[in-house]
Amino acid sequence: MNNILKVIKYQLRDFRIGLIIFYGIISAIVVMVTISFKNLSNNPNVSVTFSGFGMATVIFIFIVGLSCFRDSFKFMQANNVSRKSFFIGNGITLISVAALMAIVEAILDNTLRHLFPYKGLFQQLYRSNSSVADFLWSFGLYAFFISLGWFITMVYYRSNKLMKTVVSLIPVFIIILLVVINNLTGGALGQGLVSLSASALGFNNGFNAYIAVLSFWVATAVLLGVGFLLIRRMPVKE
Amino acid sequence: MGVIEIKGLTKYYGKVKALDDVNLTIEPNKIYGLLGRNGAGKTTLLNLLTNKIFPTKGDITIDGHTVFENDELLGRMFYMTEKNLYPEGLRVKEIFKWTQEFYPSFDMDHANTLCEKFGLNANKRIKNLSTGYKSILKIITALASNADIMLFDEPVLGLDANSRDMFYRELLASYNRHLKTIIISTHLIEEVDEILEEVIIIKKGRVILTRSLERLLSSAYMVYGQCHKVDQYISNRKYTGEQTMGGFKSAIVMEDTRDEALAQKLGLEFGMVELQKLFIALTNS
Repeated sequence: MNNILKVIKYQLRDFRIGLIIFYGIISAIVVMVTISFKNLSNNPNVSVTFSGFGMATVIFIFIVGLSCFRDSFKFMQANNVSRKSFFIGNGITLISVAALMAIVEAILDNTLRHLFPYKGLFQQLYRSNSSVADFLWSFGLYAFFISLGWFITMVYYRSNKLMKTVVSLIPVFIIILLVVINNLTGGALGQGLVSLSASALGFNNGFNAYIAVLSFWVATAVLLGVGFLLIRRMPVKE
Repeated sequence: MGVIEIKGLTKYYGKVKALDDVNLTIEPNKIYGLLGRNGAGKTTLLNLLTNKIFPTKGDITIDGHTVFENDELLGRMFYMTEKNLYPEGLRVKEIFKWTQEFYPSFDMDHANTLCEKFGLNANKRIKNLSTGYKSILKIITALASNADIMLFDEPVLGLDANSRDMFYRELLASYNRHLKTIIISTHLIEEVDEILEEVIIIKKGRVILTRSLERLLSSAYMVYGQCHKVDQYISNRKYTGEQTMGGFKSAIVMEDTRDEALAQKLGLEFGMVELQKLFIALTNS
C-alpha cells in the first residue's frame, strides 16, 4: 500500500504542470470569448453560440494517457517498485485525474452557460442541463480516453520492432476490411456499426447518458484488465 | 538476515539460453564479485534478482520469501543498472528526493557530500549529464540509499581513474559504516579484487565457480622458469593459463600445495596467482 501511495504522489506531480497549462489556456480562452461576446451581443444582427472545450479536454486527457507510462514505469523500476503497485497506483491516478477533469468540466459547463450562449459536449449530445449527469458522463468518457492512451503506450512499449509495425498496421487493415465488407453487404455493416455505437452511447431510445456511462466504464475496465496482463511480466527497456 | 537463494534459475531470450540452471546462495553482509566474459549472463542474473525481467524457470528467495513482485523485499535492494532508468527531464536533486520516498533510509546529506566529492552539480538535469556523470549519479544514489543489498552492474562505466578510485573507497566506507550485501558485476577485475570477499564466476550462462577470494587464490599458484622445466613440473598436474616468453614460461597450477622440492631441483619459482589471470584461465576456451 505504501508504494502505491508513492506512485500516486509521483504521477500526480507529473501531471500537475500539464494540467495547470491546460486550464490556464482554457481560462484565457474563456476570458477572450467573454469579452468577444460582450462586444458581439451589442449587435442585434449577430447570434453566436460557443462550444468545444469538452473536445479539447478529451484530446488533452488522451495525450496525458499516452505520455504517462514509459518514463514512470522505468523510474519506478529504478526504485524497485513492483509492477502490481505501479499498476494500481497508476490506475488510481488516471481515474482520479479523469474525475478531477470531469468535475471541472461540469462546473465549467454550468458557469459558461451563465456567461454567454455556451453548449458543452454533453449538452450538445444529450440535450440535458443536469450537472450530475454531465459529471458522470464526462468522468466515464475521460476515464476511457486516458486509459486508452495509457494502454496504447503500454502495447508499444511491450512490443518489439516487428510487433510495433503489426500493431500500427492492424487499425489500417481493420478499416480496409470493414470498408470492403460494408461494400459487399450493401452498407449493412456500416448501418450495424452505427446502430451499435448509438446503442452503446444511449441514443437508440431517446438520449440516455447513463447507458454511455456504463459503456465507457466497461471499455475502461477491459483496457485496464488487459493492461494488467500486459504489465505483469513486462521487461524493462531503455 | 538477507540470505539470497537462487534455485534452478534458467532464462531464455527467444531461443537463446542466457542462464542455465543457476543455483547460488548469497550470504548476507559480504562483498561479491560477479565475474564473467561478455554475454556470460551477469546482467541477466542481476536483472532477474530485482525483477527487471522474469525467469523462464526457477526461483529467487530472500530469507525464504520469493522476490517475485514482493515490494518489501525489492525495497531492501538497490540495483544500479547499466541502463539509465531515470527521466531525462528530472534534476539530480529531484532524483534524490524521489529516491528518498522509496528508500526511507536514503541519506540526503551523504548524497550531497558525495556530489561535492565527485563534482556532480545537483541542479543539473539528467539529459545534460555526460555518460560518466550519469554513472556517478547512479553510484551516489545507490550509496546513499542505505539499502541492505546493493547490486552494481558495471558501476564504473565511463568514469575516469580518479572517480573509479573514489567509488571503490566510498563503497568500502559505506560497507564499513553499515554492513550490507554488495554484488558488483564488472570487467575491471584488477581494480576490484582488493575489495571482494567472494567471487562468482559465470560462463555461458552457468556458474562455474563460487568461492571466497582467499580460498580461490590459495587453491592455485603460479610456477615459472625455463620452458622445459616448467613443462616437467606441470606434467601430471592440473594446470591452466600457460604463457611463454622467449625461453621462459609460466603456468597456473590448480592445486593448493606446492612441490617445493621438485621446484628447487628444477630451479623454478612460485608466485601468487592474480584473480584476473585465474579468471582468464578459467573462462578461456
